[in-house]
Amino acid sequence: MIRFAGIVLGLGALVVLPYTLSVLVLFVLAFFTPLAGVSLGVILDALYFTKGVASFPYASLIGLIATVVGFGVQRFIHTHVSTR
Amino acid sequence: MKRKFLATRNALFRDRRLIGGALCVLIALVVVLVRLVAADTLVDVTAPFVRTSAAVSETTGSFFSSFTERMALVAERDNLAHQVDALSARERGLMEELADVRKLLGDRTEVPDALPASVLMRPPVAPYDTFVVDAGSVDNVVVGASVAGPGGIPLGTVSEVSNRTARIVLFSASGQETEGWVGEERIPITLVGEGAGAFSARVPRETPIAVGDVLIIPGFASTPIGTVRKVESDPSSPFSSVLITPFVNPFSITWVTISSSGL
Repeated sequence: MIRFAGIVLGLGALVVLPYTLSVLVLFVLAFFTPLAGVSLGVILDALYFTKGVASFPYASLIGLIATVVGFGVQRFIHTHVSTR
Repeated sequence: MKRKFLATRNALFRDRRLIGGALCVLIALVVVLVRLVAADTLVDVTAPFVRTSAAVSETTGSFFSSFTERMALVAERDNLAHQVDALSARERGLMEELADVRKLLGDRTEVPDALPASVLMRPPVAPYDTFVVDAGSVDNVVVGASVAGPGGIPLGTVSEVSNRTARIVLFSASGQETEGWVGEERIPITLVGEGAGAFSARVPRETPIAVGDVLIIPGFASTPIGTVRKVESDPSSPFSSVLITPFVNPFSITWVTISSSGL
């Protein structure tokens, strides 16, 4: 339930908070739900990216990095913390 | 063999993670699909949240400022400062226009027709220097049309148009290059967007540019876009860096005007 509430809050953050805070929220969510990182990044680009403004949709790239970091953190916790 | 953990419980947690991830991916796919097929719908859905957020922040700001006279005075001072900035910019624009008219008597000076549009999304919520405005192709907005802020100050150009909304790329978008002129001698200069409303430029070191010189760009009736704040020279480099202060802050713009034709 908390996970879903986090996703909803993340979606809200994209249209309410400054993008720097949105990226922070994206990274925090990616620790709990790794795919939320890339998903929110793609949504951020879908909302605000337009042709000519940048050579690459950077928010998607940041989201992808957050997802990779999130999977890494989860794998680390699963390997070193959860199973003793 | 004895298992060290309860497989069912662990599988349940994993399923929840997968469900959360799958939900995120599904939402992202739907949003991208809507963006590609019906961009207006996406803006329609998100605009109320953006407006509510802006209204709430404005209301709470004025609520807290009403507690003390000092804060009220600060707010009033800020408001007046904005008005002075807008009027000063307009005055500078008129002076520049007058100077140009005097130099080029008989040149076209009429102000082009412009359509007012409300800004739905803007920095800093938007990560790129873009605006989404509530005017689209039904209002005769076309790609490439020039966009101006308060006092006719140049802001950017329309890059995408849907039925009821348009996306505007600001001249200050990171890496965006815009040709213009600087100073009374109208020295050609290439403005480079630095993001968040800022500009910079690189010119040969001997170029006679002084602090306070105004910059203008084509297509905006000689209305200046900003002033030179600093000129940095390095003796070992043949170029100088010009730092530019824009006349408007894109973070606080709520209305823009869009010209009826492209540049």
